[in-house]
Amino acid sequence: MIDNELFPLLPDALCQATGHCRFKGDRAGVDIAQARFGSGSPAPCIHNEGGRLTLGRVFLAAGVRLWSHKGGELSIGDHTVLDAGVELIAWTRVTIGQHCYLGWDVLVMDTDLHGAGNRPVVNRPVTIGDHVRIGARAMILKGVTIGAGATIQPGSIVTGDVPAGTEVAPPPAIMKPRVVS
Amino acid sequence: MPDVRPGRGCIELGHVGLYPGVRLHCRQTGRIAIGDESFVNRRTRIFAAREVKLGARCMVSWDCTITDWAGFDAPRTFAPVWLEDEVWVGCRAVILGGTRLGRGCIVAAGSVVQGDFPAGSTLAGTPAKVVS
Repeated sequence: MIDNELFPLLPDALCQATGHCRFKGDRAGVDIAQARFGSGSPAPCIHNEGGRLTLGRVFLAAGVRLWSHKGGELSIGDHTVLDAGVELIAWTRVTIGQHCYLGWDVLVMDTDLHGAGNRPVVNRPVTIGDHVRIGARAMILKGVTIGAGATIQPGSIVTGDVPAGTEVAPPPAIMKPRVVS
Repeated sequence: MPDVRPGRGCIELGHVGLYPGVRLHCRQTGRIAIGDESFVNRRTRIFAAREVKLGARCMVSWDCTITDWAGFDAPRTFAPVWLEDEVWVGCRAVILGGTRLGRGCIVAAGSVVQGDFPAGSTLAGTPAKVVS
């Protein structure tokens, strides 16, 4: 049973998680026995290229993609919900705590995927504590640690640490007076 | 599959990698050109009513928008977008008309870019500014 008070839909939606997931790459090192999958298209995709994926009692909605690269460790604690379109990329380590909610199209990555120019690629682990709420389309980039109970408002691009219990928000749209022609 | 619609315009692709869900659309007689060894990642859309030109070895991440539409300040204006070789565009960035990025520029994730930037700059923010 997945019990997440932050999930905006009825708790029933979590009980009715009858979907399946797609696999790419390596099945060894993937522990998803307790995870539940939402129905809908495309099915959640778990892509392991020689890393490790450990999911507790997690709900993955349609369109979620988890990618663990060689040597990467991706772990998600119990009762966490990943809503539709969430993408997690672990080249070193991405850790997500318990009872978190990641909204639509949230992106978490611990790597830049490419180096700048001829320099090597930069990877730094990402840690997200328990009871963290992350709004739609937020991006959590390499090296970030988010403390327990923090709130990341929708659309934030997080590049630095967020202390426990605090809230971060993106710049809002500003009013600009305009003469309509 | 990528969705490539030249319409009455033209699309010139070198030896490029297009990921699933990429959309290349021309309107009127617009032209889209992408040089060799460039990659355009998932669901990125490139739209040209005049010209969008990417050099060789460019990397465009997923969910980006590259268009030659100049924005609401210049309605119905389309200004060419030129990305020189080895430009790297981070995910969910938006590049608007009248942009020229010099060789090796890096656009941070989620930025909105418009204007001329010299080779080797790193851009971030909305609107994007040079950060290094």
